[in-house]
Amino acid sequence: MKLKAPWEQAKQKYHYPSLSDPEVGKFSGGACFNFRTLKTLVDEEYIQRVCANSGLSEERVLDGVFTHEIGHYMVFPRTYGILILAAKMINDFFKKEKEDLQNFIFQTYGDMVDDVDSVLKSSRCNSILDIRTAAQKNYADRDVNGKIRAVMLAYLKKQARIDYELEDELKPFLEKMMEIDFRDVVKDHQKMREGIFLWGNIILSIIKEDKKGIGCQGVDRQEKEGEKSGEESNSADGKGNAAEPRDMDIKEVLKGMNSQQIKDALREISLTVTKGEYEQVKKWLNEKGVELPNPRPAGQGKGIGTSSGELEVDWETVRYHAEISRAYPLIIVKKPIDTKKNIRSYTRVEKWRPGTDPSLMQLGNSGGMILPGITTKIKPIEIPIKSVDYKAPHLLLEIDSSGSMINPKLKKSPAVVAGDCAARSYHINDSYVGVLNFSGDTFYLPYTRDLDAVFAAITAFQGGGTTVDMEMLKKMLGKDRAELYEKQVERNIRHMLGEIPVKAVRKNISVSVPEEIFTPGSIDVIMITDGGISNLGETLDFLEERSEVNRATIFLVDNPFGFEGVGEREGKITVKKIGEDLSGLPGMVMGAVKRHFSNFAEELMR
Amino acid sequence: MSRKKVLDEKTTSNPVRRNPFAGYKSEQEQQERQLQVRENVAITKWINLFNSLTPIEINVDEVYSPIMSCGMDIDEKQTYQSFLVHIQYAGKAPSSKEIEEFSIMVPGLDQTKPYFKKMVGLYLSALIETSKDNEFVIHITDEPPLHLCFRNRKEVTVYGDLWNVGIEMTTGRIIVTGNVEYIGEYISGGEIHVNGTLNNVPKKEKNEEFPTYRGGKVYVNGELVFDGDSK
Repeated sequence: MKLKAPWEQAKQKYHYPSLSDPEVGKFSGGACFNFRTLKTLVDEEYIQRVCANSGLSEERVLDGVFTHEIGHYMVFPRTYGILILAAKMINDFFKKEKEDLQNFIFQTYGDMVDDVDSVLKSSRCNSILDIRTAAQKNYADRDVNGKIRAVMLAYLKKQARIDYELEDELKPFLEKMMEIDFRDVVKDHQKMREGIFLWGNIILSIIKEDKKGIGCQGVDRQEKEGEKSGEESNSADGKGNAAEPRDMDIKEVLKGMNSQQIKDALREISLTVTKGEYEQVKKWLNEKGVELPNPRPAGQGKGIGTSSGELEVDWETVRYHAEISRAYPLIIVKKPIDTKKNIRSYTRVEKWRPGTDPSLMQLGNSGGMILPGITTKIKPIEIPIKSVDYKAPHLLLEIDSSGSMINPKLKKSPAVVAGDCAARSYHINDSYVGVLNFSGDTFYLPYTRDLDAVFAAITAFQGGGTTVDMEMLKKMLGKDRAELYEKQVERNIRHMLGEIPVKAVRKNISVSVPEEIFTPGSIDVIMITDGGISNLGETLDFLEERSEVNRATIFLVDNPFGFEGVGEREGKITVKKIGEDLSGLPGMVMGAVKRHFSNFAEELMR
Repeated sequence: MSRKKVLDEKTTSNPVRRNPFAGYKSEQEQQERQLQVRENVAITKWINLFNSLTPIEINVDEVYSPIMSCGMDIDEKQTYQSFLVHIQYAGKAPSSKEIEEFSIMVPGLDQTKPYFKKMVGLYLSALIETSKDNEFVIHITDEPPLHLCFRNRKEVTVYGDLWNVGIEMTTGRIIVTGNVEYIGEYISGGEIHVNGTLNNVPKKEKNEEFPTYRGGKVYVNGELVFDGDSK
């Protein structure tokens, strides 16, 4: 079989996606797309049978098959996240039905989304309709699978504005099918949910109405027949029985997913569905035997130390928000910061002794002769100097976790996601991040490079009143911030996370953070709040006073209480608004990019 | 000829440089076929009706005279009654399939509507009440509605988490496959099965003139945790 030409032809219709060449496999299915290897498999026997039945050339059949299969990669389901979500929805709606039937609904829905997208495009329409029409001849008209496929084909032809033939008894199903919107379901999960529900019910109605009365077992029987005859049960592209490779067999797909793919899929799902549904998806995956990634990083305890006790940390919630934050990186504008550096000096000399570096010898001082103890050599030393470097500052993140804020354990919290985004973005710029989590009580996390501890401190929810501890804020920004480390050992964050009582940690410790962190102006302040702070005026006054030294940004979260006062103070302090749907975060990135480019342009103009 | 002269000649003799893109035409715009989607008449009817409805409000402070001001809230009973009337006047009673489909479409509704969650819960309860069917399935795919199965008398299966369920339930059965925070107040009969976690298990209040839970049975994962009918 010559696969190369039709493969290139099909790829061209999707603007050449990066896929490896197809392979000929020996299985009773016609073709399938393997999500694990991103490879397309075709069955030679099936292709020849379709050619013989339909009179189409081999190249034409292969073109149609490849166009459909590449569609699974380009149109639906595209990613593991969508694949899992769609399968979960089918499981929700048709729990009572057999697994085979659920799988059948899943596959046919995927095929429809894929093919509908193709029939609406002039470049792909004919390839898909040709192969669908040709494959239809493989089904017996009177069996339930044939009927479902006939309705599917009629629907595709109707959407392509081509005349179609359909038995009268099947026309009501086609009419019902016209209510489904198959387009852009990858972007709109609600549309996918509605579509899956309607589509599944249409299939169930066809099975119910089937005069043979084979009910739900119709599809199963077809598959068994398919095993015998080698083909009959398969879809247009010929997905075979359970033992054979199939492109949308959720069981097989889940079995082959590695931990990184599971992580990516879960992150994708978490971006679009509610936290409750996300938890349900995880639970369902667990039931399916998928090993979910451990949310708690190695060495982290259950709680997080505070200035007056310990807060419970729910690592599931921490990981959930931390994963979402990957989607919204912020841009950190660098600034000149006083730094202490060492430079190499070659001004000193010492006596040369055998065994030391001969290249540093100064032979001129001993008449050109090597005389140990008399001949001198250069002694390189490092001299400390003060300089100003253009770099990203460290971050002090103040987050409001009062009762008026969303509890991150119950719902996706835009405040926590914004905090995680900021922490992640500073961390990647080699900065240290400190956290002040304030509510009725305030607790702090000294400047650290341990991102997991930072996420935990941001996500911890107190749910009390809202007062910013000004003493603590001043301390975190002031010269005496080294004192904060007396109670909590940096780096060995395990001490801080509850495994060892805070009191047990010895007091005279050496702080392992770089010295420059204690220089004024090396810290940016980001405060995330809904504005309902009892000492708001005092806090804003303080941040304004220090704005020349410490750049301050306030992320103002939308709230139903209509707290005002923060937005009016924009000037010395930057105020950014974040909606509940995180809509403000990409805007923030764009703003930073624009500002960065305008600064860059200004520099160029000078 | 000097090199400079050659360069000068090249530049001056051909002052207008040839456009390197002259040979290419702009891409022709291709009309894409639009997908034909027909409106689901039955569901659209119930969605339009929901959008046209408004809640009946009550001043909570006037009724309960609390220490802290609570302001306005929805009057559940009055709102539910008005929903029942509106649904009955809307024509053919909703089928259980239509109600199931409506529950799936809830996330796509206008969520800025005042008291949205309570409105959805009461509206679904009213749809169930007016339907001629007896068994219903509700899918909770977004934020859970409040006051679902208000004054329930039928058999309802709910897939998803709920805050509260079955206020003033008299008979019938509610099966929740998910977690529930509270069992509705003033339940006087019927059964509620929670196949998940029930965070606040109802307790029998003795010597109360108006007990919150007056009857009915509550099961959590098959285990009877509250029997309001027992003495």
